[in-house]
Amino acid sequence: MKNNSPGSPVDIKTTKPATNASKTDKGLSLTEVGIKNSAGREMTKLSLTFPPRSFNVILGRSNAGKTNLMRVLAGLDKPSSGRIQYDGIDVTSQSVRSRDIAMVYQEFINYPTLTVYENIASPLRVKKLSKQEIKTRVEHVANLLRLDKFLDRKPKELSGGQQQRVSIARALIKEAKYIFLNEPLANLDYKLREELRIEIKDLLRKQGATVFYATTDPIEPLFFDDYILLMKKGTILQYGKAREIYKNPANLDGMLLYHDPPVNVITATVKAKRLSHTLSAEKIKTTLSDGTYKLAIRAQHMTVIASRSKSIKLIVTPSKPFSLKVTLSEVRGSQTLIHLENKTNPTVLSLVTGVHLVNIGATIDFCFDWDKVCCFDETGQRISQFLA
Amino acid sequence: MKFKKRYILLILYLLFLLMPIYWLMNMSFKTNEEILGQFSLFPETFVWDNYITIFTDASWYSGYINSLIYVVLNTIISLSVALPAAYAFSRYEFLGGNHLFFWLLSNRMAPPAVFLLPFLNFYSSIGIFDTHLAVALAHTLFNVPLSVWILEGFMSGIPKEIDESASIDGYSFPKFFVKLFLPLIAPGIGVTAFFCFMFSWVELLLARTLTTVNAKPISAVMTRTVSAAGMDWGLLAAAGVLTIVPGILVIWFVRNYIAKGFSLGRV
Repeated sequence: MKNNSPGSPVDIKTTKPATNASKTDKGLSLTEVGIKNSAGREMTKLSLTFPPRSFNVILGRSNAGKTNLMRVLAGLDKPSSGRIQYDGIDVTSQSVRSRDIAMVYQEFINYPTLTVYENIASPLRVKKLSKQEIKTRVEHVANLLRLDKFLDRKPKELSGGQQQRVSIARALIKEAKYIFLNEPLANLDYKLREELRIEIKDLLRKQGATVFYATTDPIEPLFFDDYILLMKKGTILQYGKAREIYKNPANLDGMLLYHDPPVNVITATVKAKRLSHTLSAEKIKTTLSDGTYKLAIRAQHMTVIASRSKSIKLIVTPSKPFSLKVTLSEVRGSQTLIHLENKTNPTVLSLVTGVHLVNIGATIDFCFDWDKVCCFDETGQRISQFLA
Repeated sequence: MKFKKRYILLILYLLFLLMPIYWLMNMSFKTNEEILGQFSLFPETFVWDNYITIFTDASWYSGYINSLIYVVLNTIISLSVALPAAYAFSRYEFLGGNHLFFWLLSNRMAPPAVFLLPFLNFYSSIGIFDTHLAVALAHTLFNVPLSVWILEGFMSGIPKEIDESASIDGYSFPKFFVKLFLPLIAPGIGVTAFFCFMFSWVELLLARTLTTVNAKPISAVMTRTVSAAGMDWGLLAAAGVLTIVPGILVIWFVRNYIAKGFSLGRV
């Protein structure tokens, strides 16, 4: 599922987003934009370009500033400084009304006094299109979102998923160039979330709009499989293609944010070009200078050694085997997440395929692949080459 | 059905509550002789004369018309002033907003008598004394703060995202306000109108002082009905019954929202 397919490592920071569009299609760009959060604190100034027709997932925990960023991008809030351009045209002081945008909120925002039909039709009615055209377009969108049976109802008479579909329909029918979705699935239950996620991906792809999608769910960037913007406490950690950032996170914060289950962070020390860590007693050759470092190992890369020879063969650069004690095991669908510990690490996680009933207190032998370990310096910045 | 003891209190309560109203209606259908002469639970000689007098005598029915005119005028003025003000208080944060809100409300706390003299003098000097407008304007001093307060509560219950959605969809502000926002707070507007109506309808002091002939309200007509022949009890009672009627009608329309209105929309 999330296996790293081989590919050339790219330094995301220097990669310019690919633009294959005409001169007027320049995407959305920010120049030195200052954003104030709800508490009035200024976020770091942003200079960034979102390519046209890209699907940008903005990933961050709550209070990371996703909503603030989105509101400034859409024009609902004014930036405290800097310029925002849509397709090269400065829109910083343009009103929301005159911008070609659509927005979907977390809280199923519809017009309660209007019927579903009137709700979906409202952006077109304002544009004064003919009744016949409105009807055809509303029916088309309603069909796509499976709302055709509820057109005469009021939004409050629908289920949560249907209400959110109405607001997505309202966003789609406008055929806006920029669509903003602020955690649109957060208030839905698990099954509906999965369903609607697939629908959103499908429909928005066909629209050809530049999409901004804020979420707290680390699996969504890979699901939508385009661009990702990682945010933490009002700062941008990294922006680039979701797959590449998954493989090559620029910093530890970004890697921790953009992975589920949590990534294991192991302390490592380097002395005289030898790296030792707290999982096993091995000392391996390194190019790093003396000091403390952090090794990040994803839970699925903590491999259980069932019969020693077999599984190690699959690993390119296996670590020395080590034993860990089981403290908890949780079955997640068809996978088992085992919580482990040793003397220095109170929680180490290992994700194993299949449903396994593991006894608490048992000892299991593990190893990991050095090729898949990410190394970070003390400030959390990635060191891409560390093995000698 | 078995009579339950717990109904006793309820019946007593209703009896005491409805007693004065019943007696008023009872009197209104009696002749003056019967009212003054004997104790009777029902009118012995049932007469419509009192009501007929009110509906035919201009000095009586014009009182109702005058009252209705300035009450409706006041409700319209209060609402059209309070709606934008309440929207501003509920949607925007501005310097001194909270203080202004409180100050507005504290207007409501002053006794009407305080404003009697300035109003009387001012209206006389600008020539609107004894007009419907005079009373309507005087009552806005009390109704606007209350209206702003009630409407602000109702408006704050509407998520701000709806306003944003509308402007994203391309609605101009006036269009959004009239077509989408007002229907959403319709119950609030109803309740506010009710409160304006009731205050203005029952207010006696300002209404009586600021009018003499042309805009004389019913409350003033009623309290000045001591003729040479003494008190006309039956007529007064009939007028009293008719004064209650508009209130009942208005309450009927907003009955489902009254509770929310009393808690200023914050239920």
